[in-house]
Amino acid sequence: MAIELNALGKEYTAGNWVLENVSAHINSGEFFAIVGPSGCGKSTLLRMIAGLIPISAGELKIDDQVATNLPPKDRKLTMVFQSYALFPFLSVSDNVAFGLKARKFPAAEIKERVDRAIDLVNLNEFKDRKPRDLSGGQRQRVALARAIASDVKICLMDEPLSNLDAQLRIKMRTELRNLQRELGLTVIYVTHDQVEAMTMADHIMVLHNHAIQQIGTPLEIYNQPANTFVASFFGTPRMNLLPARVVGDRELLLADTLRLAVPSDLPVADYVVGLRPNALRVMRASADAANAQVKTVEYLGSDILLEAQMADGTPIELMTAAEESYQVGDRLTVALAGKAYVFNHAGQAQFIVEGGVHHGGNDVNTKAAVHA
Amino acid sequence: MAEMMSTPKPQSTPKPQVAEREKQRSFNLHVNDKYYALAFLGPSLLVLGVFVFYPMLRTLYLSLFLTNNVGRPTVFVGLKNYVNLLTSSAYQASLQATAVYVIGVVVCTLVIGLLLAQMAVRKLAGIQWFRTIFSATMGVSVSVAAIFWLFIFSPSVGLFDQIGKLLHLPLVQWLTTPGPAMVAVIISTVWMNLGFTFLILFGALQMVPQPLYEASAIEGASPRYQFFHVTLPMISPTLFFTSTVTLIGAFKSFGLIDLMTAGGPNNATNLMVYQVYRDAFLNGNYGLASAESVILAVIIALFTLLQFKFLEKRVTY
Amino acid sequence: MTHLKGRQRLLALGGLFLVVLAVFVGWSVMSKPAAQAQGAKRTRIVFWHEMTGPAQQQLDTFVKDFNHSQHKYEVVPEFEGNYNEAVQKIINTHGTDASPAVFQSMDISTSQIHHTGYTTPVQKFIDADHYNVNQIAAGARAFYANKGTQLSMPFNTSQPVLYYNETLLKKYHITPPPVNPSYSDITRVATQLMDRSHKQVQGMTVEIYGWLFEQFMANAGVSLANHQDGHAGTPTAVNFTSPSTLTTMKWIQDNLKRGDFVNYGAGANAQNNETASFLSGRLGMFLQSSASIGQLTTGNHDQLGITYYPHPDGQKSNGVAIGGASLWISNDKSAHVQRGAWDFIKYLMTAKSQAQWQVATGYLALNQGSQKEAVLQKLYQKLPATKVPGEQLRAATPNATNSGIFLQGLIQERNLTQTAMEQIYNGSDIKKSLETAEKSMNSYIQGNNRANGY
Repeated sequence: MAIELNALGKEYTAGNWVLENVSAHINSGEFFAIVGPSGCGKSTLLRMIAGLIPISAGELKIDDQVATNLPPKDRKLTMVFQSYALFPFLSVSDNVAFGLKARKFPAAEIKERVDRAIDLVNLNEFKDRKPRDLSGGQRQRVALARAIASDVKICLMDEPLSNLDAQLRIKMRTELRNLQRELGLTVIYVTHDQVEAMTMADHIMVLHNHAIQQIGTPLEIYNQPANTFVASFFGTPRMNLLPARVVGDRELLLADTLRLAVPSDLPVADYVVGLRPNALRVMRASADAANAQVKTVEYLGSDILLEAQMADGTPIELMTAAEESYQVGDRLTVALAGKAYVFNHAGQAQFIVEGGVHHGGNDVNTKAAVHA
Repeated sequence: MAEMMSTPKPQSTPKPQVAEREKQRSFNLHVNDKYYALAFLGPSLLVLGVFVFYPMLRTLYLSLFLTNNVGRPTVFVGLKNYVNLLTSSAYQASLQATAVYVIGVVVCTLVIGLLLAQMAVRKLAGIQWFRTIFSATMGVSVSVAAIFWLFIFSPSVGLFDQIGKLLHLPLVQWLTTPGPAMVAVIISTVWMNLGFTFLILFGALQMVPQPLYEASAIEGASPRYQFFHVTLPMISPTLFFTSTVTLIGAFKSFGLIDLMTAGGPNNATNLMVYQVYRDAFLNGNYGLASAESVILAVIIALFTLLQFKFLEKRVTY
Repeated sequence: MTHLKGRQRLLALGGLFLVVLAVFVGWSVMSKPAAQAQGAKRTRIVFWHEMTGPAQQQLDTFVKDFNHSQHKYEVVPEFEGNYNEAVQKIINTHGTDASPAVFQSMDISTSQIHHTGYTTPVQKFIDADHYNVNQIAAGARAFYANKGTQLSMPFNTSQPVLYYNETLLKKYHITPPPVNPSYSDITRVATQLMDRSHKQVQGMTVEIYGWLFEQFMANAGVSLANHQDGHAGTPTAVNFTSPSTLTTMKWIQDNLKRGDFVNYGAGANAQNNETASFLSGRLGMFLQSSASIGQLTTGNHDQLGITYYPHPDGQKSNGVAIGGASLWISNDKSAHVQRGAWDFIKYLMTAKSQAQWQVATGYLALNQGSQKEAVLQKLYQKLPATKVPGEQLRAATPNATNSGIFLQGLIQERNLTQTAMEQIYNGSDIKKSLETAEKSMNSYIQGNNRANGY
């Protein structure tokens, strides 16, 4: 049950494209996440796949068959909504049985499938309850059970966990993932939460500004972000993006204070360098040796998150072990100690300088010095 | 928090005197509460008593008497007024006419109102205009509506007859033939009701969450199936409300009847309320009219109760 | 402690409530005298009436003129809605400040109003003044008299007549009906109209109206209620099934079946529709009150013909009862007020007032002297047909069957006979329909007599 998106586009009013040129191949049995900030068009894309809104351009193939203009019920898929879309007047069993009844399945088969689905989501004791008598997590399971009962292998999910509290959300992530594997479902999962996407998905599509930014496995997305948007969207705390200018042959000066040696020639004058907070080393310093100053201090338990200001005024986020204690106003010396992502002026990734090792495209292993 | 919510249980049984005093105190408090309740409720009770309870009891009382030419109860006849009424063929005819009218009005109002609302809920160009039109009858007074419909049903100059003439249909004397007259008053009443019903049902339809339709569309439900298995159950509380309101309203219809047919022809539209009016205000027969009022009130109460008993169970979720 | 506090609070609350109540009561009491101050010098004579349109305008003029003509009384006219509503208001306000000194009440309420005992018969004032009642039309007086006592003064008085469109008849070369037509005279004209116009013109309609039913019986000389239509004692039963009544109903039913008569139904709508049809030349004849003359002559390009009310074949017409309303004097007012009310009635009944009344409204001038008044002469010259109703009234000798029915519950009687007429018009068995109505009416009369202790 593979899904093929071929240059899909959506315009509500002529010439006003909310989505453009969206292409992807989703393998059978894959957990595919679509991630992006609100308003990026991710829900729109999901609804286009579901058939709830018409596709303006491009072609959609489901299981190798063109489905661009099929009505939703003929696309052999099911959908779980953010609001769960449960029928408040029906019991749990009847909610799960809704689609089967609409499709006029024989009663015996309906019962069997419903029982199995309810069993799978552990709601046996709640079969006869109405949705209003269930907790948020239970309602979520009913919605899942409904999708499962339909027995189709594609399931679209539109932010299904966002209405749950934080702990339950984490628990449900695992459950969802296990269920998906167990049933061999192809899941397209829309979320605005990068952690959810990272922890659950086989592949992630990052949407922003009406277009795809990157498609890849969670690791690829995290380790090789295609541009500054992807780089800063994934990872907590966020990656620092520092302005950099070329100061010498194969050397960049970040935020007017940090020097970064690079393995290849630099054809233009200005770059942006991305540094995750854990790729920066922090030391206390005396006033004359310091290149940054603490602005806020957040204790996260094992770590401390510092917001600081570089000498030239650029804000920067830093991580340090919790043993030390910092106060606002403390002076620091910040040094590079990990991967540095070099982006061009338009934000496109150029190469990666890795704690002394430089990755640029396939060309790895080039040595690079890191100056403090 | 949990401590505050649970009632603290006494550790040990208090001594008898203490318990007695406690009891006394709580009793005093109780009595005071009663006074307070009376003081606050007094004015509204007074108003209710004077304008609601007294007239109700008085009606009940009058219904057991014959009344003389100045409306005073003179001869106690027990339930004879009721017996006479219920055995009179004219009153039975009135009951029957009322039943036909009420059922016709309630069913037509709900069905047409729902149809209009369903149409208006779609997002089409210029739909706002239709919504205004559909709800417009809410602002029309009974007398204006009566004149409007009298004109439409009028023989020789009426709209229906003009259309009939064009189509070479036989002339229908709408308001002077019993069957068509009933149809005519039902149509007019339904028309009057539509504005309100439309607006309420339209509001209810708009409140149905869109994902329910999307989910059911994906699950394979046709629009027809959606209407009966999603829309109707979702708006059933509102349907229940409007049906009750329309039913009670239909039982109490007076203005249109009085202005259009005055109970005629041949008493075909002589509804129960109209009979009350005739007996009380034309014939000056307050005893009989009171008995009729009581019967009407009982019937309305019964129907409302039945509706609550049977329908309410199905509509709450 | 709590007890005391609670009681104090309760007292405070109660006190507040009383204060609010007192303010309301005081306010409503204070606002009264202002309204009463006006008529301090003259005695106020409150006059309730139910006239609308031109009749109301003329009545207001009479009141103004009367108030100018003397200084003792100030008549205050108050419109009370329709006849039916007014009867209930009159009964329900009696003995209170709100009740009228003199009021207009419809023909069929005569027995009911009399039996309330709320009025002083005008006979008392006629006797005291040696007022010459003979100048007032006998047929009208008889309707509002009981056993030689004049209970109220006939006022707006009409006669049922037959209207026909003379122009239309001329067009189709049809001889108009005679001035005192029989049923077959009318049938002839109706049939000819239908035939010669090729069904473009409807011949005739008899509105479903209990008043017309009563008039058919009166003109045939048949009593509707026993004890001589109530003039000799309280009726205990009615008779809707006399041979003449059956004949009349059969006459209408047969003609309806043939199609030369049409059914316009009952009530105000029927009247409006038949009038509209008549004025537009689509209806040849119809029965209606003489008070409609004004409406039928203004703006009517066709010539209006009027005849007496039709009577059964093979007998002379007995004459019809009047319709309309009369003026009563309440007995819950002082002798001085009653005197003022009587003076006002006398003013309304002068030859001059009555002539003016007929010209303005179409109601008949009841004072014999009015016929000589210039305004009325002028009207007769212009529209000779308007003479006919008055002539019909004067032609009949009052007797028990043409002086109205002295019976309580005539509204009910009309409802029932109308229902019977509707059934008959729709083709039901005549006798059965009338018997059903008769039975209902008799049980109504029995109950009513019992309730009133007759």
